[in-house]
Amino acid sequence: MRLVVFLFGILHAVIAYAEDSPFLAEIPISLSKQESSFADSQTLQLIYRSYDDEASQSLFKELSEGLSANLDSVGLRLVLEKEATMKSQPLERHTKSSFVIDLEEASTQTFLTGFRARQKDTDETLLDQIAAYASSYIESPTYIHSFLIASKVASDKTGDCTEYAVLTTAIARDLGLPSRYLIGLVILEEEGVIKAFGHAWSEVWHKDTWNIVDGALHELDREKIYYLPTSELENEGPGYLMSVMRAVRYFPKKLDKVTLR
Amino acid sequence: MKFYLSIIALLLLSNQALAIDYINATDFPEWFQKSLKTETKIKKKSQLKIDALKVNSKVLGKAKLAESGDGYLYYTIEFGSDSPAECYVLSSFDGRANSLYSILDGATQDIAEAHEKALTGKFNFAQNAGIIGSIPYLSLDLLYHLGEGQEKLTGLLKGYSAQLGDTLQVCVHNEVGNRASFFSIFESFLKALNTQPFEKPFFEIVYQTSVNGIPAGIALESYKKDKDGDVEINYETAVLMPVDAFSMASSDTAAKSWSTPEGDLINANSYSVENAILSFSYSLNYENETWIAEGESQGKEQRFELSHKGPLPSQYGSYFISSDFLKSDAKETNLTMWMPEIDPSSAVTTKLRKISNNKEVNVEFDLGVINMKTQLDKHGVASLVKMQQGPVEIQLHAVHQEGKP
Repeated sequence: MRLVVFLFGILHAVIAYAEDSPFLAEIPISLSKQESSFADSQTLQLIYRSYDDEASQSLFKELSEGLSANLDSVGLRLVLEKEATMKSQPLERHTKSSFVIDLEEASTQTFLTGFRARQKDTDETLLDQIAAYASSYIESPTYIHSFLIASKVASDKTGDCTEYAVLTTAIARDLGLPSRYLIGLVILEEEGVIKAFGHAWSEVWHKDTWNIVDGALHELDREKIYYLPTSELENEGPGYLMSVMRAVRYFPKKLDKVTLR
Repeated sequence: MKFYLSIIALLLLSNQALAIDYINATDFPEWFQKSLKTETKIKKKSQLKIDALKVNSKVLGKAKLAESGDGYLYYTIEFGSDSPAECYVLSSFDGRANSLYSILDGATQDIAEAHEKALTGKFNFAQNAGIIGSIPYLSLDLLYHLGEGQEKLTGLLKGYSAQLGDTLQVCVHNEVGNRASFFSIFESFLKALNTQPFEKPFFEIVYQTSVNGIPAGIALESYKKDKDGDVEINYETAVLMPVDAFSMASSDTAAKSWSTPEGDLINANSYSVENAILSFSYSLNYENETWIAEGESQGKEQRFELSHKGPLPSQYGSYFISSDFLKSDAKETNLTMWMPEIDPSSAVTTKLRKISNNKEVNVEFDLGVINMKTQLDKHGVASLVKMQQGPVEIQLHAVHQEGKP
């Protein structure tokens, strides 16, 4: 069975959205009659159709703690607000260096030093500065990489949303702000078309609440994006791939009856 | 089942119908569609002689050694088409997938330079994975555009790669048509080189790997015994995964381990190359009653002491465990192995469960967040592996098997 295990690296491609259209990351979506534009809407309702009942049950348990979720015979019904985050409190591990967010490595330190130098010269909010710096740091956006750790992204300056998210998580932790690596979906409006993609971003604990920091989509209008966090990368050790696999398992077959309110 | 596998192998050998085309040819001008259907009847053969590899065989077309250097031989093969096939024999390479993609990628740049035009577009056109005889191969065709406007040129660069022992054979052909003819040239070239006296394994199996229906790669295992009866195990995978219309992720992995005849692991080495860069490399050894994993992940050196004490089953041993499980009345059993691709720092336990009333699969492998369903024979050998992980469906179909564990 190890031969299959060798192939797990492929699955990262499901979580890949970064302002382009990757093959595996796009999620089929069907809309109800649209009553308002993304920018005018306050909430987004949808039915989350999983690949199997077990994934629906597990996801419902996770989401019901933070989001408005209801599991019935039709499926997993969700109501998303703008900037939706998972609600659990920060933990000690959200402040520490890890195998994935390896703050002590030389290349990561060089990257962080660059952020500190830039921080002095701008009027942006701190969280915007984090996203903007990560966004500008990646010189070669591409979907070809598997999940890269912070020191590798810092040295190679390449990747997609999974790589932007390790950078934003690293900056926040270096500043002493608890931060966690989130995997889930984004539902967004682009030139009047609504699409959904697998995605990764950071949540940063700032001013007594979790805040979304998204380096990959920093240039997009946040009013036109709904975030649906489905899984945190809880295992940031050498076995981090198990956490990535867990997140991929939760990814839906389809988002149905998407309605803006 | 064996008959069915033979049919698959024949299909892969005799035509390219299973290849995936990403771009609909009818979207292209008539000349392109017409060229795409062009084939050449190859009449001539020539002698291919490579002393270092003990090769002296006839190949289709007129093969000529055009260049050689440290770690490579470069041949052109004229076969009556507008442009010759170009074939490399590489003794230093990254793997079937990485080297094929690197050569194709570099060749598109060379073609642009030769035409003194900018490379203005490059698209994944088609790909396939299969076997020639028992040798697994990958194929990839890239569509390219040079220049803009009235001066714009469109071309198709086709490529194949296959490994024989310690050499990799890569052939490319820069022409829209002659897809089947070029395959014949590659097949002939590969067979000519397959005369080296490789040590025959007592068991080998080759799988075609598909991801959401795309024939993305190959996977193979082989088992040889040394004079003491210990078993040398080799696994290799090669995958080309299209991640968008323009880009291809390439991944090659290889692992070599030794097992006792009883199926206990002695030591193991494993590495992976992704997009031409070493992704990880680990070895596992048993020292002072402790399993020590050492190596690097993404350029970072690592050393782990596994918490698991005592013997670990090898891949060879895992066949015995699976086989015994199938013969037993037990509904489930555990299999604990070191799988550095998942976690180099610990041994990972997989739960095996019997599946009843299903003609396609009979055993489930459950790693907690990952679930695979397989069809195992009485020796524990899988002819089919299926995994649905969210929107990704991976399937492995055995396309060649010789011997048994």
